[in-house]
Amino acid sequence: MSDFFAAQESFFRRLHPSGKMAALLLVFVAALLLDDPRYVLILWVIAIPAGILSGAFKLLRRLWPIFLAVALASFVLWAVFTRAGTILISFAGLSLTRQGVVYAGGMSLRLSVMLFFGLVFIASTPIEDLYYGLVNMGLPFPASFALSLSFRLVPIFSESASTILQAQRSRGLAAEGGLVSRFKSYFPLFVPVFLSALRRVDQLSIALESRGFGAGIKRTSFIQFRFSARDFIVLGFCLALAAGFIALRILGLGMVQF
Amino acid sequence: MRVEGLRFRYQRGDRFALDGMDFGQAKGEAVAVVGRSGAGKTSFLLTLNGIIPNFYRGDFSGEIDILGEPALGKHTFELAQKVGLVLQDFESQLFSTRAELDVAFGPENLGVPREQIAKRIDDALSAVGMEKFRGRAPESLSGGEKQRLAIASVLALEPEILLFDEATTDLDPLGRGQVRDVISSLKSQGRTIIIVDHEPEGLMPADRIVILDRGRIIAENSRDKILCNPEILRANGIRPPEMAELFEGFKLGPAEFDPVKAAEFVRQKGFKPDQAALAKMIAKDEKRERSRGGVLIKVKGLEHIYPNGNQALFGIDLDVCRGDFLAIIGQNGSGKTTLVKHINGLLPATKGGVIFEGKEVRPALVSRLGREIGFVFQNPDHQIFCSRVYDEAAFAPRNYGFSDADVSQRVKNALDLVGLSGRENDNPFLLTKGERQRLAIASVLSADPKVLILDEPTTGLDYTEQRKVMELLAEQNLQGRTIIIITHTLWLVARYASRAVVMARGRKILEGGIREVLSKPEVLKDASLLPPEITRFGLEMGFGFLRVEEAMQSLRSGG
Repeated sequence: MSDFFAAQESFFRRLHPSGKMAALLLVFVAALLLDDPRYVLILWVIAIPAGILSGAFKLLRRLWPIFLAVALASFVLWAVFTRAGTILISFAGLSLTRQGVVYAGGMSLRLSVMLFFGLVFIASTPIEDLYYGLVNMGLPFPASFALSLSFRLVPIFSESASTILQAQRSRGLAAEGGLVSRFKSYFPLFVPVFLSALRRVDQLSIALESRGFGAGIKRTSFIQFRFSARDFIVLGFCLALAAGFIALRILGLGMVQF
Repeated sequence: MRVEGLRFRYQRGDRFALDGMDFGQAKGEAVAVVGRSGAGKTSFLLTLNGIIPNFYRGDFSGEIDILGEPALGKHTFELAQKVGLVLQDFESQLFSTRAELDVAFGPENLGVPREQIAKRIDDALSAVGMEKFRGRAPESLSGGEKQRLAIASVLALEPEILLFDEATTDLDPLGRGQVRDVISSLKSQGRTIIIVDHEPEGLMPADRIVILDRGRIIAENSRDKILCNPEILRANGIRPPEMAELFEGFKLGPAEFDPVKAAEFVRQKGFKPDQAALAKMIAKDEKRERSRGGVLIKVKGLEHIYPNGNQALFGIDLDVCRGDFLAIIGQNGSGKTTLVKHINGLLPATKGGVIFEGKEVRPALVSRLGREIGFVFQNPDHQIFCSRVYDEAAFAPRNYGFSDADVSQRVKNALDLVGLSGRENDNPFLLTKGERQRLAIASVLSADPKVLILDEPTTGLDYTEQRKVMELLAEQNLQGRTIIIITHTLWLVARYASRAVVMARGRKILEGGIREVLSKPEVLKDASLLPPEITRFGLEMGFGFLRVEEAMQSLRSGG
């Protein structure tokens, strides 16, 4: 997992972080506007080249079970709980409607594509670029830094969680059986993971303080980004995409009709 | 630097961590601060750069002058430009994705203009010999490189005074050597330095040594005067240099710390090994070798390739017999931990495998194998999770379905063995690191396993605690339990283990009785390991001693 965040040189990697954030936001807006799966599918069509441009396509491809799980889970939930529309089949008090199934398809594509674009962004944005971008957009440095750092800590915590789990299994903890007993048996995991995280954060804050963090002086930045043609191309593309989806919405297209 | 009447008590602390410290240091001087765990060493360093009382609050009194200015009331970021602090935990000090950005972080915070930051990065990285690593991801570096990078990132603030808080403790011998070289070179450039370290080798760059106990300075003298006083060192949790113990034992005056020169000196004084005494030692070694039990664990052609494609083990063959006290030694990344994690099935073999008592070890068996093979992880804090010492030790036997009466008997035994009886109701998180390590051992011993595997059981402990842990293991071994430890601390291996396996680059490069292995410095060198001082001294004299006592018993002055 940790190699996921070690962004390689790529087209997206060279983009201005603030512009990249704005572009991501526009894609999210587009994704949230329409729910007809045929239209949402357009975003997945764009997602593939975007994944390649992020330089992390191989890693993203390895995560396909996660995208599939998110898509399937949301499909099932929305299909079952959407009650309006023409009933296809009924079973044990639950019913599937034709519109409900189509709508669920749209929702599942929407969620998974947002997850995909989110990961494309994270994979192509090292934490220094991330806080550079946030500061550039007017967020205070300490908050930007903390937010960026939290991404960095995820793989570290998952690593310590796996060590702790190993330690407990070798003392006879059996992580088997049903969901409840499994969850119960994982409970002892939380205490050491939480405490080791606390200890780490404590050391980290000493290290940060000792290096002048929060000096209250206007901070300089060693890395520098300038908006260039590629930023305008990407932003322009996303703007057009969002505008197009807004137009469709106004025209009443791309929405499932109940 | 001048410190007067320094007192500090942490919020909720029951005693003063610093209790009336007076300290002075001249410009360009290197001072080592030593003492047992909890003596106040870290607290002292933290007051010098203002973390105490700015960040950790509590009762604080006393005066600190740094470079002629009072430090009290100054913010940490102001002090950071005069006093740099390097911590033990190098992982927490690095958070960037490119080495140069970690170095840039400090100057950026202080608003240093961009062009100057570039120059500071160059200077700081070259001061630690890491110019070539500018663009590397810190997580891809070795421990020693990471710590050197952490030093560079502190140097970028251009502090005159540098504090090293156990900066080498978590490193392997290779990394320790690298960091110590950096410290020595910084000293020769005229920086003022304070070192906190447990190992005598780490104290070598110091001009003067200060011993702390309960927040007070109890002794202070030139480095050599202190190091040649084994008694005061032992009493304060510091391992005395073996040459100092030897010279003191033979009343030879101030010790020569270099084993080769020491041997020359001792020879000139007319000392020679007594052949009868040596023959006795050899006979004892042979007897131990002959009395090895039957094969308990058989590792055959074991290979392991991690999911990321890195091959960690290459065709390992190894027999561990009943009653062995086996040390697996080597640098970090040499495959030691990967190897032992196959013994109880924590890792699946890519090729080959492990046979335990005639049965193949499989990952599905981990939790059941815990009854036979106890595994103590490197960091006790990854193991401990209960709110009572008793429950922690009872976790394994309860998992194995013993009756309450059995569980309580087993817990009692285990806590007795590690010296924690009477502490059943204490909260494990309030124990000292050494006690937590012993609790981690008890929590595995309570399952009464035949084999005990420990991954670096003494890292980060002071000398007193290290010996307590090792003596506990030696006692268990004497009772017939098979012990396997992973370590890179060779003096400890020499004193306690019966056999050793040397690992390098995923391969077993040497195996044998402990004296045999440690007497092959040329092979150990291939694993970047150096035999203990007393063994190197002994080899110069013609016989590889394992303990100072062995040398004392067998060297006679021929005059």
